[in-house]
Amino acid sequence: MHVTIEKAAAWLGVAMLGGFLVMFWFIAGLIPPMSPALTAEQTARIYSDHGLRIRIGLALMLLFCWLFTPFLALLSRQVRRIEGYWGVMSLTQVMLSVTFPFGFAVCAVFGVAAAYRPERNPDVTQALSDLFWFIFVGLVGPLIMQVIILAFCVFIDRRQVPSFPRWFVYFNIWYAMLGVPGCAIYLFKTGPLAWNGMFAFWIPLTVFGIWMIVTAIMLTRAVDVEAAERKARAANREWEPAA
Amino acid sequence: MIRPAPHVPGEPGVWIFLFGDMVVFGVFFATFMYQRAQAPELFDASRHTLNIAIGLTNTLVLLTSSLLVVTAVRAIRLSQRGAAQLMLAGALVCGLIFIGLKAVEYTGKVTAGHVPTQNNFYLYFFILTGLHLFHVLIGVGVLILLMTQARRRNLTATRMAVVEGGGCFWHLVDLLWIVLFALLYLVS
Repeated sequence: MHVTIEKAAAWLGVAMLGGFLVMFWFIAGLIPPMSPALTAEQTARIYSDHGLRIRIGLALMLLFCWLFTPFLALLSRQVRRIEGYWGVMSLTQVMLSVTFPFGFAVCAVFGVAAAYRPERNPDVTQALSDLFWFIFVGLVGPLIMQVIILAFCVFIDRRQVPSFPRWFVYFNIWYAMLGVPGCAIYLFKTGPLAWNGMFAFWIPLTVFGIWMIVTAIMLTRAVDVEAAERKARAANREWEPAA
Repeated sequence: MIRPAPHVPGEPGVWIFLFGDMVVFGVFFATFMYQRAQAPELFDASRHTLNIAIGLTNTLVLLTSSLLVVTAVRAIRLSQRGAAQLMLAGALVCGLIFIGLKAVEYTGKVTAGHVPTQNNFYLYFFILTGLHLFHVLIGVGVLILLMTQARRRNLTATRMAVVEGGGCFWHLVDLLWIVLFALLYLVS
């Protein structure tokens, strides 16, 4: 039962990745992103012409983005297992996991607000739209921090049977480095580092997708490692340490 | 005759990161080439405003540092700790010279009015060299890590692999710069 629940949590993360893409891309139509160089009127036009689909897509995201949480809970538990107790690394992982769904929820609130009143002054709609993109694309710090902690943890794991393979360390570092350019969107209105650019949006989005899938697979393996450990402990009649 | 088992430097996993990074930089380079094809005259005219002397010096500095890192990793393997630390310190100094020259170059460009918003060439110039500079900064951190490892008396197989992986990362930084130098400063 235990193993099933934990594996379900890992796959729920992948399912939610798919859900996020469907909601933002196909329902709301916010991917591919609009250009930051549009005037206030052009931006407001998008939100009034596609108001309903944007509001439906983002409303669904507001309801469902919390389904990322079990995935993150499992991730934090596995970091906790490597660390061996509730230390700084696992606690930081927990705290950053709390912020993860909010990254989607808070930006969705601004996007919904932008589309909510098509009759209002375009300048206001543009400001709300900016806030949507600034949070959705630009808020990469928590994610990067989370991934670096994970990489570091796996790197220093000295247990006999480690939960994650060594290459997972470098995979996470790769993801962290490619996520960084997202933070530059506040400085550009055109080009590859604008919020609709190749370096700030498309590459980080692709890598995020790859990371969610690979990490889910690695988490299911880590659950198996843990289950085998429990079984061996039970066979040797050892006390199980409080998890 | 028995062939020695093939040796891959570093942990195999480090190559996921190195190849992954190279693929993404490949995409960056392709984007730049595409943009250049849109406005070949503008890109060529802007290219001539770059300071080749600084670019070339930086290339030589990084090549020297790569050579020092190779020698240092070799020295670590032979447990010549003093030599290894000296080489790594030299590589570190090279890294810092590179960063210093980049700062001089950026300042010169900005005071001459060449800012990212001027045209697409300068937009890509600053972004690509900036992303590379970010790699150099991380590389400096890696070199410092290698120096702490060079001080150890005996390295386990895992630690030795980490040292080699760190060395490979520095070579990647060097390699990316060589491509970048050719692409931005030389190709007409």
